[in-house]
Amino acid sequence: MYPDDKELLHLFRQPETREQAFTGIIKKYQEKLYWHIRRMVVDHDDTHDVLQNMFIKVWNALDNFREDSQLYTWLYRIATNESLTFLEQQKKRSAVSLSDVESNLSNKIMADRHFDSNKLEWKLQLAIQQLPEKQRIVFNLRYYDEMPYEEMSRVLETSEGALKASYHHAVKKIEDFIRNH
Amino acid sequence: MTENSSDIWMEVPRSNVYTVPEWYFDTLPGHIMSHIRFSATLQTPQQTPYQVPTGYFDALSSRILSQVHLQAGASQQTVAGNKEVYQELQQLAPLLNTISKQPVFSIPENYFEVQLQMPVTVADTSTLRTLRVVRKVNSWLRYSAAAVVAGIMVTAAFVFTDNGGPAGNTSGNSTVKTGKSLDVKKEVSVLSEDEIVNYLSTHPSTADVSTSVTSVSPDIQHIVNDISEEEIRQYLKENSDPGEGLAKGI
Repeated sequence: MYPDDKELLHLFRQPETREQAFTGIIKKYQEKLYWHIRRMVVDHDDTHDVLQNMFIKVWNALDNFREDSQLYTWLYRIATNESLTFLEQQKKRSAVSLSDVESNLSNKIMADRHFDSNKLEWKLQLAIQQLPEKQRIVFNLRYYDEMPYEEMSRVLETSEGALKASYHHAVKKIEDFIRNH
Repeated sequence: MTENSSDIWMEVPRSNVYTVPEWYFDTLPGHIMSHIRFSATLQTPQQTPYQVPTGYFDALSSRILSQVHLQAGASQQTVAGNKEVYQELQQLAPLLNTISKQPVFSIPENYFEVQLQMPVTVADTSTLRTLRVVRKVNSWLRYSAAAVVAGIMVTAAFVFTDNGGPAGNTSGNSTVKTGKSLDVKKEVSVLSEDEIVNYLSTHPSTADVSTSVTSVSPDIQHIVNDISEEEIRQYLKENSDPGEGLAKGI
């Protein structure tokens, strides 16, 4: 069991327990954030880079974190932004179209040593990569992280109605993809 | 002795002492044949009009088991997870509720135990700040380098095309050179920083100048070293709130 976020933030603000508290924050949220990023960028090494950069940014900005929002929400927002930035950089660096980036992500999925095209869970991963980036984020947060729309609205700074519509579109597209592949 | 025995056998009546059910022998062939036909039916595969996909029965048990696991996983997730999410998906696309949510991607063994300790073990403030500052400094250096190169180009154009003759020099040749110098200045002045940076990255010889400026310029390093933590924090605060930006407006 990890201390609650308030306690961790309190400890972080004390110089003598700063690192210990930050270690606690990493340990508490690393897996959730890792999988959130991994589902966006697919490759493990890329995920590791994004996650590490993200936590370094958190270290730098945590002193200024006002507890208006939950730490968890704030961390998800940073992870999402870092993932999107990473994907944007990839697009610019390779000067390829969006569809090329998506097919590149699909190729990465198929390159996984456990990939099995007959298994629904892998088909689902391929289907997710066909979604536009923002629908992909909404789908992942709702489907995998089971995040309430209200909370997602705070993470993505978007109205709940828009998020619901986005999720519904994403689900329909994924269902179609799975049925037709 | 032999004769006596024969006599005895002669005296034994030849009638059958055993009885059989009435009509036994009449129905026996029918019984036997039906038994034979029945046995044959058991031994040969039964012909049916239905077709089964090749290998269907070979894979059936494993398919059933995987479905059982999936269902078990899905129901466990539902219990543990958010029922609202499950019910919403049940209405939208029930198929997705049957898919396991367990991560399918492979990660290095003990990744979470080992790898992510790293930022904390190096999380002494100086290292982390250095990482962050280096990135910012790099962009300052890039602009500084671009400015330096632009300056060099302007100066070189001025020096090599204009000998700095007095204003009264009215030779036609000098006038032409001065005219060239002014053109270069004018050209450079209208360039944006992005264009200059782009030019540097596509022309290795000039890019080398920027690299050398970046790597050896002690003045710039000195300036950077002189920046206080507070100023860096303030700069970071003003320029990058990591929790804001891209995700907004999804």
